[in-house]
Amino acid sequence: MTVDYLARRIGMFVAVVFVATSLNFFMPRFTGQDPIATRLELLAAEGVTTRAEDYAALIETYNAKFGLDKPLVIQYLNYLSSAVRFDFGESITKYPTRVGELINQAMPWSIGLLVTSTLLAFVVGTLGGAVLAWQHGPKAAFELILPPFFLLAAVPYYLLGLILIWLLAFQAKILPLGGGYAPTTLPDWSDLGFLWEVFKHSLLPALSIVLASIGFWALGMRSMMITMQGEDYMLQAEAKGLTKTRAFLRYAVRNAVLPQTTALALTLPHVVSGAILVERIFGYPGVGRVLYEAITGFDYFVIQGVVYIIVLAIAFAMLVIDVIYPLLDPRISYSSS
Amino acid sequence: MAVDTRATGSTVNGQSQRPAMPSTVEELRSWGKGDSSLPAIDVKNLKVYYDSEAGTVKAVDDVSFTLQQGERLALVGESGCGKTTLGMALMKLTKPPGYIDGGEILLDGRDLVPLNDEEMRLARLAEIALVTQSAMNALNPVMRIEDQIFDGLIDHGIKDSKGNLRNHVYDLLQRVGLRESVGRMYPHELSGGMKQRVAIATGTSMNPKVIVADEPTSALDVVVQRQVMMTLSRVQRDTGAAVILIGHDMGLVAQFADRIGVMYAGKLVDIGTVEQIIEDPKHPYTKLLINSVPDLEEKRERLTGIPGIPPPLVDLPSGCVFAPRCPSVEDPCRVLAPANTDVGDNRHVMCHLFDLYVTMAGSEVG
Ligand SMILES: Nc1ncnc2c1ncn2[C@@H]1O[C@H](COP(=O)(O)OP(=O)(O)OP(=O)(O)O)[C@@H](O)[C@H]1O
Ligand code: SF4
Ligand SMILES: [Mg+2]
Repeated sequence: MTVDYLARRIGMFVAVVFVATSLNFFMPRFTGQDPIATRLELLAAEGVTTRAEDYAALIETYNAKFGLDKPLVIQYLNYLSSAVRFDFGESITKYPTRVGELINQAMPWSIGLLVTSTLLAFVVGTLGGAVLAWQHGPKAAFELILPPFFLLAAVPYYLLGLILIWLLAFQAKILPLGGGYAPTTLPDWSDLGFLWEVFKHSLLPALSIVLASIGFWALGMRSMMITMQGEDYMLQAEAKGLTKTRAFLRYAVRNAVLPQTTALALTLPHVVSGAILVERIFGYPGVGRVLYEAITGFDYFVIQGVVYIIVLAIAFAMLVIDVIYPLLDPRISYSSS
Repeated sequence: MAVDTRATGSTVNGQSQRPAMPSTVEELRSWGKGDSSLPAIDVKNLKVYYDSEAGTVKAVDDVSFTLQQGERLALVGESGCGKTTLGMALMKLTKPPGYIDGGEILLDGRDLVPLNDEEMRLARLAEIALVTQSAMNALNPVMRIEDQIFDGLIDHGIKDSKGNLRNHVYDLLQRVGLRESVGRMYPHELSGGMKQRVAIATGTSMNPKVIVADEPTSALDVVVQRQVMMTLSRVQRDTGAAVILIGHDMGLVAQFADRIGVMYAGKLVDIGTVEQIIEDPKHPYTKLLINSVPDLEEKRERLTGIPGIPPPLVDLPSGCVFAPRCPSVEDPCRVLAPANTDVGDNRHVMCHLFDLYVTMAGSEVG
């Protein structure tokens, strides 16, 4: 029954989150790298020197401060309880900024950029792929337009990003080189000028993601559509004298879009992690950059926070797919396991 | 946009006006029950070829036959002899690399071959319908059964209330022995036999003149096969549609059909009433077929046990296509192809034993 089904899915969700979160705790600790030492090395690199006897004391203070002197089990339990409370303490590298604050600041940037560009690429790519595979459609136009996108799909989007920067920002100077907004402006979300600024800055990263992924969606959809056209119900649709539009939309696309939807649902949660490379190249202030800096600085707590959010988002997306899919595909019923 | 042939009727080849297409369920009931002086379908010299790397595959080669209103014709022949190709061509559903190379398909007097896409689309289901070999997968998995039947009606201009449409679908389902509730179900909830019944209900939803049923029972087990054949038989009687039943199984089709057409290597080599074909097989291939069914009452016998294999359809022998396997082969057979000969009683045979050539040459006939 439906309640039973939901209960099982939610149980699954909790299990997935628990396992992934635990891995998230243990994995960085098993690399054998010491975050405090890394932090001090960074400080040293910035010219802050420490005398040898102070060095040991300093490490001890830091370890105590971040709870890293406690036995692993205790650390683990603390970590679990902080995960439940969404409180990941303070960043090691950006002390005393709290991890939650870092993530909160970066999240809207990533979600805004990536959700928009992912959805745009999905819609355009899926439609294009569908039309391309449909022998009755306005094929000629798409046959000219889409193949370049198949090519672009093979180019990593960060490379595409670099090319775009060079072309549009460096050579043509139409768009800004990077950042979320001009360094001279003060962020004010109620100011139209600032919004325009944000939009202009997001165009290049968005373009590099959209251009690189339209081909991916189009290829997937096209091959699904070709498979669908071999199906007997497509022949039957034609034998029933259906209009081409109806056969296309309600028979071919309707079926071919099912696996596309699954792929989309699994792609979207990655939005919260940001597109690390794109954000890095464009100096975009999103979660990807936070994560990148945390990894290079070996900032346990920030890594844990970001990864935890990613895990939650993915598990949640899977839960949503499981709940929604039976509505899209009657063959998947709530009663089957 | 599409030419609306509903209001004006088609005047292809200067023929008389066709009756307007029905626009309500009520009008649908009398649709298709018109003037029965014309044959339901009259196929003349139909050629359907496939272009392949090895050459042109002549899958249907110069086939002619006539089917009266309400008549049931069974097409039999070994696998690959062109039965499905013929059936699909009658619906004009031939797909590349296949194409109709020539001939006429007169449906109720109108030739389908020159029709444009839109005219042909309207003719499908409303005048000629298909029940496929693989009704197992012939239903859209994500749509309810009734919606899939509505689709066809709506796209043929039936503009009626949801209630009337639904009642019509219930009638159709009942006629094929299904409960009304099947209308609200999805394909995966049905058994193979039920799906095949749905296919028959769909095919008859607009009272077409002709139904092409391509091995409608081959995917089913024997008991269900018989039930579905009986359903098809009953529906045929109810609607008065002419049926072209394609099948392997001489025993099964003989029970259903009025006439039998025997195909060999793309040619219709023998056609006559069931009695004529079974009691008095004329073409040597038909004789072998009949003999290979030890007891016609035993329904499951397949067409096996004829020595030799069918020729590749790209590289047909120059004379009679059956010559390499024919027990009665004579020298002229290898040189000259036999013509389609009317041997009386509307019985047609394609063999030198019955045509003028051998008779003139003084060989024995019979
Ligand atoms: N797409 C195609 N390209 C080339 N040749 C084809 C194609 N489709 C069918 N043929 C050939 O046409 C011939 C007739 O095929 P068809 O499917 O009509 O036979 P059939 O009598 O229906 O056989 P079966 O009893 O197995 O269903 C076969 O020899 C087949 O190889
Ligand atoms: S024409 Fe000759 S080879 Fe062909 S079937 Fe008749 S007798 Fe046999
Ligand atoms: Mg076949």
